[in-house]
Amino acid sequence: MNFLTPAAFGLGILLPLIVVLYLLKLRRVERRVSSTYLWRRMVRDLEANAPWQRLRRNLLLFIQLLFLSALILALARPYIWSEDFSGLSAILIVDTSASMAATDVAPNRLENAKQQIYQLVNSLAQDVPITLISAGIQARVQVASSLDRRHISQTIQNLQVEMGPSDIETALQLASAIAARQPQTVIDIYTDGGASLPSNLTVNGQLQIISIGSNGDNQAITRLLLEPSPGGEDTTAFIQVVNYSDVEVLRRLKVTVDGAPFHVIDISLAGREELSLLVEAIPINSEFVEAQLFPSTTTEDYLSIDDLAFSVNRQQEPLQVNLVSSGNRFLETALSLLPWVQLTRTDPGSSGTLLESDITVIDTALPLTTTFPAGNLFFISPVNSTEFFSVTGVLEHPIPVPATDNLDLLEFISLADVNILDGIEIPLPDYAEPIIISAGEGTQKGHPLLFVGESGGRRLVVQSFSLQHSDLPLQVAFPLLIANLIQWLAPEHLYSIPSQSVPGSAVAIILPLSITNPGAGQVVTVTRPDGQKIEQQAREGRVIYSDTSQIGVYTVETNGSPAQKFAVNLFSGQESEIKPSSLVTAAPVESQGINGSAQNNRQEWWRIFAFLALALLVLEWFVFHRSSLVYIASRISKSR
Amino acid sequence: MENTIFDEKFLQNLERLAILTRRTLAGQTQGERRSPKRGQSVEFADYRPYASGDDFRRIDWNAYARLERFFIKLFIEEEDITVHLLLDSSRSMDWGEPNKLDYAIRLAAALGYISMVGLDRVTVTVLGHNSRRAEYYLPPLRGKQQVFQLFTFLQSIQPDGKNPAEHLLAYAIKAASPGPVILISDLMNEGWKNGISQLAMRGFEPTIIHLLSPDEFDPAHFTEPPLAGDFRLMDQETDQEVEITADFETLDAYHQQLTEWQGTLQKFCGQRGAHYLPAVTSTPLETLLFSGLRRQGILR
Repeated sequence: MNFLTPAAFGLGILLPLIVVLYLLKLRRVERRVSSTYLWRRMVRDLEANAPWQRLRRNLLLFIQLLFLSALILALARPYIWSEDFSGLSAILIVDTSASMAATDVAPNRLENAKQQIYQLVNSLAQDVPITLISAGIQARVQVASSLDRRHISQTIQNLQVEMGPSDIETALQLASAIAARQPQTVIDIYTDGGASLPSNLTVNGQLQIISIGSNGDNQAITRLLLEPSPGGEDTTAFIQVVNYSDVEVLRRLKVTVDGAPFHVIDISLAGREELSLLVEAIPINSEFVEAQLFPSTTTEDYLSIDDLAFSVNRQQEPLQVNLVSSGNRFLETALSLLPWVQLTRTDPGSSGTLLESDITVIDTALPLTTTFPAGNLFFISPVNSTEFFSVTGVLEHPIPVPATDNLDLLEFISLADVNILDGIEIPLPDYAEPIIISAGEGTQKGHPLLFVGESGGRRLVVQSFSLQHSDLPLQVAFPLLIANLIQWLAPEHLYSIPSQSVPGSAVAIILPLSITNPGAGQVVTVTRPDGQKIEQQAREGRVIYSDTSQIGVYTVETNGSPAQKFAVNLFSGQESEIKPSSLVTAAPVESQGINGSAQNNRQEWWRIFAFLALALLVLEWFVFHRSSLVYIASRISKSR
Repeated sequence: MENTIFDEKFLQNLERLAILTRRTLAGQTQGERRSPKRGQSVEFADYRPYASGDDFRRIDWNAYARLERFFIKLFIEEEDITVHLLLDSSRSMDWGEPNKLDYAIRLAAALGYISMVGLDRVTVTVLGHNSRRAEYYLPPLRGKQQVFQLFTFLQSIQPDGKNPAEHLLAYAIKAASPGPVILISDLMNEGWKNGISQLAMRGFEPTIIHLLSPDEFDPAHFTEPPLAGDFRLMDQETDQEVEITADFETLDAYHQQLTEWQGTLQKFCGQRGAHYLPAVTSTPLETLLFSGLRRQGILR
């Protein structure tokens, strides 16, 4: 045992002083009385009990010596080195990922980690600053280098499991940054593993990993997808179930459609087996499907949050495409082959105003005064300049080449065999991005033959050559290019909300409004699986919704539009694999030991001695006043 | 002189009282108490055969007429008795508020006055000197006119006696004229029992008035300044010292000791036909005389 303030032992000189005081006679007040006859008689009686009298005096001396000794020890601040903790400051990283909800250690892994952290916090000296970092979906510094043990305990108490992976890496980087400012820092990570660390992470401080959990028995639903059946009459659910334990288990899978039971399957899963299931004949107009695994009584399933999965059934709305053309068989055929396109053809001479549609394909010369309809536009060989581009001349025999490599719109498309007779010379507008350019000699080099861009709140595709003056329609590349361009032009409301997301990720909600009306000021209401409604103001026609901590079906509503749903599922093999493991690193994490050798934690014991001193003081008071207390008690009993 | 001790009204009240004796005691001169002797009173006691030299006038001629023998009529003698007042004059008596010795002198004066009014003889002995000198011993006085002498003697008593218990024993051995002995003392010495036993054995009728001051009776409440803390108590009579720690327990033990002591004395006196009356000087003298002593059967 060592002492922080050994100078306090100087007070030990008081110990013999007390003994000396006892050895010295008491300074008594002299008082004359008529006679000491009775007093002498009484003292004789008291002396009959002399052993007790002496004992009482000695007991007081004994207690006072003990009290002073305990007080001196408390003031000397004794401490011992323990092997549990080393360093002068502590950073505690707590894994709050979904796998920490596993119940293989009671009540669950996170609570178990909390209890261990409580014990550590209580055992640390008061002057050891503690930093608490939670490593959930995002790493957060919950308490930064604080000495306030109550605040730390409260924060630990408030830690909750997050439905997602653990960002141990960021947490370690945060811890390392904090440790860089504090000497001799110990970083404790309370985790069940399952996270990966970068290979070349350098951590300031001494890293200790406390593994939480004991058992990895778990089964999970890792996929739930809904696809229209080939005939389009109904929907098929694709479900993948994985057994993460090493033994064969029996499970019951229950499928619910729109809240009503639809199908129940008893499945047998061998150890580490992945099982794929198809559930067919789900009504095409159903909104969402829920799949749940029920544990059997024979084997354990320690993590229940991955036994539940949801999927929403999206019915794709047809894309309205208006082809303004006096007749183009190739183009008409290519567009009509697209399954989600509802094609209409308009004769340019039929009326002065074009129909409003999602995409308008203009394959003809239009009057200069034409007002373009709302929606995206696809110009093919325009003759006149428009508000979006200017026509400056003619290109002779341009050689089409991709503007740059790796363009998405030219994926799987080869332009090597495409020949073009002539084209329109259109300088590339500022907003546009070239897709196909002319590779010809001289002045024709670099002129765009196909470019895309966004202008005036709409998307534009301009093809500067006519299909009739090219052999492109005869190439395999033609329908692919048309499909890619139409898909790029398609209004975003078709894909405005992803049908599935993972917990903790942000979901971009793009309002299903017309492009020319961005919907500023619209309020989007998101109903969470627990029924709580969250309203968010739309900005530039979109809302970024980030509170996806719950697993289940979220409903998005805006004024005047039908509700859209999206599902949030764990679907994380890393989290479902709850078997405790050490942190995975491609290479060992480099941690800087303190002074190159392990040091122990300093555990102070002064509280115990201070409490002992207080107890002895109270005891001394009772012993000293024992006679008075007995007298008062007897008087009270007599008065009754 | 008597006015400094009692007022007229108090004396008049005292004249209604008389000292009681449990049995008839022989006196020295004619008085008002029945004597075991046969004498000249009007109360018939017995007959005895005539003997030569008897007074003819005392022959019962009616008896002679019936029996033709001479019988002398005997009558009860009425004599005085001697009341022995013994006052402890040790220095421990000079204590308390009211002062024990002053209280004892007033009590003795009252009892002496009662006796003198009752035509009894009163003798006063100051215990603590074992001397027949005039300042320590008042020979028997009789008659109301001697009261002034009694009062003067009592008022001259000084608290300077030593070994009063031994003096009592000596007095008990030597004293003549058995009669009521009234001992007024705080009994704060050893050896009192021997004297009391001797008195009872010799035919005296002892009455012990055990006089204590209020602070002796209850030091926890009547001592000024309060008796709390560590003290060295000094006996003002013997200069003996006792060291005490005056806490509740000690004071409670003192009280128990006092109670036991008084109980022992009462039992001791009762076994020897003596009266024992504990008294505290805070009790008014009238209360003690007209209530306490009468209740004990010492006065009537």
